[in-house]
Amino acid sequence: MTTVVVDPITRIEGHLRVEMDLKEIKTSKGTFSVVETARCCGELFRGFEIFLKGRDPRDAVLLTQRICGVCPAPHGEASCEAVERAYGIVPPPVSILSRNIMHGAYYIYDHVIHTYILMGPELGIICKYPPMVPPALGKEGIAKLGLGKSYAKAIEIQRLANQIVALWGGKFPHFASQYPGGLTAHPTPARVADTFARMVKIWEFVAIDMVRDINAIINASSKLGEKISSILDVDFKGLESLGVSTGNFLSYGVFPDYEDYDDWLDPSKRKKALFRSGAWSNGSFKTFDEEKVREYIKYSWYSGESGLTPFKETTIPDRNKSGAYSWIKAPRYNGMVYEVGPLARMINTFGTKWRVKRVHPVTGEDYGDFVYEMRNPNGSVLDRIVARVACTIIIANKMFEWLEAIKDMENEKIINFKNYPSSGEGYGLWDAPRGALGHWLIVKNGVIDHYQCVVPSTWNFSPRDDSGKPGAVEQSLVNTWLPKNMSVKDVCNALYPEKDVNLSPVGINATVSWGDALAAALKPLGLEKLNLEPAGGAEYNTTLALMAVRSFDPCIACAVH
Amino acid sequence: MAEYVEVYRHSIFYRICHWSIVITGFILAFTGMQMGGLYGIRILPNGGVLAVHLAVGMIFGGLWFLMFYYIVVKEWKWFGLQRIPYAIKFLIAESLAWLGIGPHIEDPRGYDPEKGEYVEKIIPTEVMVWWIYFALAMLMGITGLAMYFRAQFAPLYSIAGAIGQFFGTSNGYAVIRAVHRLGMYLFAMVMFMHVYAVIIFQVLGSMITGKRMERVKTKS
Amino acid sequence: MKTVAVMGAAAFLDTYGVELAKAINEVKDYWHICWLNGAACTGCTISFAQSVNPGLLEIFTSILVGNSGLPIVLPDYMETLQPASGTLAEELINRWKKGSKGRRILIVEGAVPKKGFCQIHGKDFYEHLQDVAPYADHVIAFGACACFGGVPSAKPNPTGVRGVQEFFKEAGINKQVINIPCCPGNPDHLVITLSAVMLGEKIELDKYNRPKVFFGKLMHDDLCPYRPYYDRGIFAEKPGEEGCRYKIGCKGPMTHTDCALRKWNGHLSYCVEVGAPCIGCAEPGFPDNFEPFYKPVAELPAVLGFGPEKIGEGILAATAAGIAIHGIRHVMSKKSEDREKKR
Ligand code: HEM
Ligand code: HEM
Ligand code: NFV
Ligand code: SF4
Ligand code: SF4
Ligand code: F3S
Ligand SMILES: [Mg+2]
Repeated sequence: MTTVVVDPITRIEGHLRVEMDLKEIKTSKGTFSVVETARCCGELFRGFEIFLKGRDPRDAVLLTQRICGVCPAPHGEASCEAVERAYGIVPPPVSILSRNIMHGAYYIYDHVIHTYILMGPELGIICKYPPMVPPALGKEGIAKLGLGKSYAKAIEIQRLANQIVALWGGKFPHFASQYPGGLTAHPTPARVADTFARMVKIWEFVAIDMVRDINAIINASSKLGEKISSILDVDFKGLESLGVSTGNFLSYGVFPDYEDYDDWLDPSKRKKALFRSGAWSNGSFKTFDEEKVREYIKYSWYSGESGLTPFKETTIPDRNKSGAYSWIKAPRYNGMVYEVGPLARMINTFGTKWRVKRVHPVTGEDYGDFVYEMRNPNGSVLDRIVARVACTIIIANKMFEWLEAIKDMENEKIINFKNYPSSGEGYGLWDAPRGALGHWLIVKNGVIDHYQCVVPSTWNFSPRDDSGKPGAVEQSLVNTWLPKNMSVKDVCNALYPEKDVNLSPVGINATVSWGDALAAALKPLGLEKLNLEPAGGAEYNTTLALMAVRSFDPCIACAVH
Repeated sequence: MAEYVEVYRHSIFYRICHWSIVITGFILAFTGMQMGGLYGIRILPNGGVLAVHLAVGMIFGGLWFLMFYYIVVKEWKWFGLQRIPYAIKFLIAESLAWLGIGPHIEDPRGYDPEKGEYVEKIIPTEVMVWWIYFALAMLMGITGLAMYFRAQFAPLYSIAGAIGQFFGTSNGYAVIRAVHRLGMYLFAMVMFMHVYAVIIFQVLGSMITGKRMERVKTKS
Repeated sequence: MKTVAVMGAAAFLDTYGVELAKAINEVKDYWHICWLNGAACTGCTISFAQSVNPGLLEIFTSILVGNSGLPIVLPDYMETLQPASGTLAEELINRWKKGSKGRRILIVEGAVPKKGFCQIHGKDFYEHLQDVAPYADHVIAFGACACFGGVPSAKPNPTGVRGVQEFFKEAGINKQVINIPCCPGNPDHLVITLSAVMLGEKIELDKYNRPKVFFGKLMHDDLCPYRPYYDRGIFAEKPGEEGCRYKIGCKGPMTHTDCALRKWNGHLSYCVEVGAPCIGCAEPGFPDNFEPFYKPVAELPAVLGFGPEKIGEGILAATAAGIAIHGIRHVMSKKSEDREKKR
């Protein structure tokens, strides 16, 4: 048996190793290597759940942000809500609204950076869509070939979005202002206006550019499906047949209604939140129940009892445990594997058919609704990336409503816990960009006695559980084609044989095929062997597998903490 | 029945010095509490508290210097360090008496009109009150100056940092500041006891008028 | 080089912006960068991406060597941004090693844990460090974790992390590290330091190897715009209130940083400005020495958990009680004396 190992997987957060055992399939066109079974290994451990013990609960809001510099905001929120629940206090509406605004901008940055900087290059290459490829030929290339046009713009936009986070949070990554009971930054007219000005530019990018790009990918995906099906003689529909997961989708909901926080406080309800909670499975919506979350550790480098709830479980590192292969634990809901992320959010809130308005917030111009119906009921690369874009537009739209509402609100004093209770327990459940995030906390003698985080990437990138069920990503890799001895250039030339890329605008006098053009860009960087992994005397092209993995937006610092 | 005679007990200089110290002490305490954010005290809403605190602190220091000088030159007989063992003996004996274990010592104070001098001017424990006051004033002065002139007091910061290890901080500034703050309470404590003492030993008036009816005694 | 000569080195280090881009443009050679991530949260990479004037995009697309199309600051290796994964990624480190002498910069993000807690390509992170360190002409530790261990070093430091300089000492690697702390590192600090390195400017370091231009001043004494509040005794009693943030735990009085001046995300804001305390992330000993974050600096915490004012209040209460008891007995005994006299 051949095992292909990709380590490190780059353009993600953190240290992820993926091992894929291959099998051969025979079709009328020959034998091809596909993945039989896969293992995800989280390769970093820092021990937040250990060192948080004994500290002031309020410090957790700042410390847990440092679990991940890509998604510090959701950790701050989950932690803050856990502390609030433990203390039995509720933030005033103005704080909820302010938090929504800060976290909304943060969300846009995160989805933009994933769509373009982390995931985009593969999409651009495989779908022959130059704006999403990195701007390898500099400003000239952008101006004359459109190479990296969207990639470049995304860098600017994520920066604008983070400036909004900084306006409300002091800085980003790792904002300073979230505090149990409120938010320390007041909604001053200047802050609201500065946010609004930036949001208009951001909205235009999200609702116009991003939709144009994702539509291009959706179209290209069908053609890709036809091509690959004919090359391999299999039934492959494109990106909707890639990275197929479980069909179980979990979300905790995100962005509470500031006028009805009671709806938010019971995580099984959250009907009024912008995205609601739910545990979709077998094609239908199910109500979420916090008590059904468990973590298993048979295959993780920890000792102690497996299968406990977050209020009970432990974190005792044991790197030499036999049979274990990852620092990531295996969370299960109701004993089953669930996928979390934008797709889970969309499906639990809107079902499988989505319609998102695109009306310009200033000019009122209507750009037409963005409509999409889920292609693969079990989830796929395409459904995931489209869901991410849809979420981004929905939030960008909502930002303007929130800004409008906060204009008329007086800032209420936030609560200060000079005499906060010295014991209590609570959880904070919040959907992070990568999915359902929970922090569980027990306070004793005024300090943290127990802290557990079950994080989106812990769900998606989990190893096998005690019953041997592989995690969502491990399952999604099964049957992925790893072209043998074919470079990226070869694959692209096979998919797009026509010579139609004119390089003369950048001083190269030639019209070449897409694969050759890419090769010309990759060669000076020493990257001809991009995504090729040696194994068993051959080289396997891992591009499709990497796309499947990246479509979940991996974050290993989060997954392990 | 004992006889009494009116005696000029405190010079005008000494009285002015004393009350100036009291006044500056209060100003320092209140501006200090304002800076430390204690008890919501705010006596100077818009002024520079630190500047006032520092300026008054300097005056306070100067007054202490004068008082020290006066004590050493004029009152050493009563307030000299050599009297401390005697004061402690007195304190122990009186405490035991208070608990009912031994006899009271008779009030030793007395004035000999013939010689025109005191046989004993003070309740013996007053000498300790004076030196404790003095030590606290020094402590406040040094820690106060150290907080302001950090560079010049760098060695003190290292020492304070080392001591802080035992109290959960390695920050010298924090330790110095905490000591300065604690010093205020100690000052207040001594002052309370002092005020109580001057009342029960009936000497309060003398610090105002300068005169007191002293018991007539002869050295025997 | 001209730009720098005209401005003077110190002024150069203190500025940023178009001038910087221009100055770097005058260096006509690649600078090979190897950016390694250890026990990190990748916040420092994200922070770097927030850079303005020059922004990340400019750094990678405008500041090119001639018309090669290749950026002057060429990250040969940078996990979070580079196209290559797996075996090819490892190969890229070798390319960096072969880069021209004098032009190889190693940037480290994240702390260095003990064996087994951080592995890349089947090799421990510290082994990677050991491996590349000899080739580095300049080493920059970016962010609190790489400098001093940062958040993962919080007691009990479950994975035994330490900063790069400390690890080098342990491993017998005799290399000077330029420490650019804060959590995350400030993009300005990195871009300016990189430029200075590339232009051959001498960077003056403090005793913790932090560039003095950024970390030479105590925020509380030299830079904080809320200092007038402090001097007047106007304090925010709760997070979010106006006034000096001292009483809500501001660690500005012990933190050397230019946050108050330079700020973050395009010079927009910083921790204290939004009504929160500084938590001292620019200092060694962060976070342990600065926690609890919302507790004022000067409190001497211990003596069984009682601070000076609690002890002081206790002493005063005891004094008052003592005086009261003594006073009552004094009065009583006076009365009985009088009665005896009357008899
Ligand atoms: C009776 C004498 C004094 C009292 C009761 C007093 C009280 C105080 C108090 C309560 C504080 C606030 C400390 C804190 O926040 O914990 C303070 C601060 C201060 N005191 Fe005094 N003080 C006295 C004498 C002095 C003297 C003699 C000086 C110096 C000449 C001085 C210099 C300072 C300084 C510089 C500070 C500010 C420390 C800072 O920067 O925060 N004090 N004082
Ligand atoms: C910061 C506060 C004060 C300081 C530093 C201070 C200091 C002193 C000192 C050093 C003496 C001389 C030694 C002694 O006789 O014990 C003294 C005497 C005296 N003080 Fe104060 N004092 C303070 C507050 C007060 C107050 C508030 C009162 C009155 C209510 C008071 C009344 C007296 C009297 C009556 C004497 C004369 C004792 C005698 O004649 O034997 N003092 N004080
Ligand atoms: N997984 C994850 Fe996060 C997110 N989004 C966590 O809450 O990335 Ni670092
Ligand atoms: S304590 Fe903080 S907010 Fe107050 S003056 Fe110092 S640095 Fe500024
Ligand atoms: S203000 Fe303090 S906590 Fe905030 S970034 Fe600067 S040094 Fe760090
Ligand atoms: S990597 Fe992260 S934890 Fe701090 S030092 Fe940098 S922000
Ligand atoms: Mg966990």
